[in-house]
Amino acid sequence: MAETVVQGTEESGNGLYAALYEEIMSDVGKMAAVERSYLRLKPEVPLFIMSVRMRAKPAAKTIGAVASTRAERGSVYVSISDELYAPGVLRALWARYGRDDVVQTDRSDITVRGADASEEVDGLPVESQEQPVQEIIGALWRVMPEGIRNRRVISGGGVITAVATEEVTKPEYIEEAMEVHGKMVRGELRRSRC
Amino acid sequence: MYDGGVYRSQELYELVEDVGGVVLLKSQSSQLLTVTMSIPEEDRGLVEALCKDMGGEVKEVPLAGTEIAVVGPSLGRHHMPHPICDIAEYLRRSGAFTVVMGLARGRGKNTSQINLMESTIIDEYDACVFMMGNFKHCVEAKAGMILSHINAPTVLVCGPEPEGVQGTCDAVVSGVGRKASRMRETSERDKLDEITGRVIEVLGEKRRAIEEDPPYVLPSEVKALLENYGPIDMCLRPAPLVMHLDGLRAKIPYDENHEAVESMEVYGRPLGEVCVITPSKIDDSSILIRIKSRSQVEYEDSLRAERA
Repeated sequence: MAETVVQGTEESGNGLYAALYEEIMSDVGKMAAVERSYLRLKPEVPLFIMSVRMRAKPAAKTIGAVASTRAERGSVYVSISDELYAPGVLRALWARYGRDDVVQTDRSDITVRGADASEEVDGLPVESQEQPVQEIIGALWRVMPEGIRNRRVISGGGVITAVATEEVTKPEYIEEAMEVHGKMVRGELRRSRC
Repeated sequence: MYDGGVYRSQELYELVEDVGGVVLLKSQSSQLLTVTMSIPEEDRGLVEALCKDMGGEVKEVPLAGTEIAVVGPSLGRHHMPHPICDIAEYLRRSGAFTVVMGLARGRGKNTSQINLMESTIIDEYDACVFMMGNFKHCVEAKAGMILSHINAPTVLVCGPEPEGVQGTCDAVVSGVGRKASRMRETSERDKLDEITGRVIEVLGEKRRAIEEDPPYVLPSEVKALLENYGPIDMCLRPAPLVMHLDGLRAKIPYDENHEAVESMEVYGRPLGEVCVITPSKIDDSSILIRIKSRSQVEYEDSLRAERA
């Protein structure tokens, strides 16, 4: 279970924001990829810092990782095991073999005509290494209050930190975000246990 | 409000007319029909029996004959559809005609604002439910910046309990902040009931104020008069006539129709004499009819008599 720590100047807003954050992260399907999250909320400034430490370094995904393939009589049959990647699989197959030779027989099964071997299909990229990171950043923007549009992202060490304010991003805001980012990389900023 | 099938609905309309009642709003979606009506209390049993016979149900709707704006700081996904659309849906179930809208520049904290056009549009409605977020600091700051410009009775809905917002709104319901999913839990539904209750209270005060100096004609009488007007009859919008507590909105263009509407006769007088007829600020697509109070009509009559 991912841990979410919220620190802010408003007690009531903190609890509500933790729930909102977890709901949005689950909604975009990224909660499982998150090990720990830290949100620093200062609505009176306004300054919002959100830092996410991921469970593992995101890696590029190929069709072989998200589907099983079988070659038979000049066609390759693809059976998608993780439906989340179904659009990506279709997109990759269409780009490689064309729409006429890629037939989606049902929700998770695709027949590819003209493919010689299943290894050839297995190797096609479905998702780049960057995509999960971009999706997490997109989810963080969804969590941020609307109108807090001046945003920066710090990334590295398996941690993504987003800092946002409404008008000018002052150097001290960036410094504060860097400090939060560093602590998250070092595994600090955990929920205190009694 | 009748909620049921469209089959035999003509019988219901005839009965409502026979008992001296009036149909306030009809809404048909495929074979489903919702009819908001006003009938004398003593004939309620008769109407209920017919509705039951038709396979539908009847329920009391305290917000019938009102048009309410549910407003958010923006139309962005941070504010829509939850919980604004949930609130609007609950108000509709209580009989109100609701409109959901967002401000053009309401987002943010220091840059949040409402312009004159927006506040004038909101003032066209009987009441306004304004939705704000989870931070007390922001709610208090925005109440001063935005709500103080709205003259329509306003219910502020927000997360924390704000302080110092008296005078900017008529009621506050806290405990409903920004949400990313539907309000489907029991506690959330209770909050929606609470919001509806506060809107009923706020509109009750407005009703009492109107009763102290009643309108010259009832909005339902003006509605009955306009229903036979050709452009209204041919209007394809879902509810061409929407009643307000002190008048109604006719969803036909002002420039083409205001002269004909003004010259319609009610109790032997042209409508333009007993009502203030203006174009809606939303665009030129609807006419706003505000019925003058009896004292206002009498006063204007006396001025006319003096001049003559």
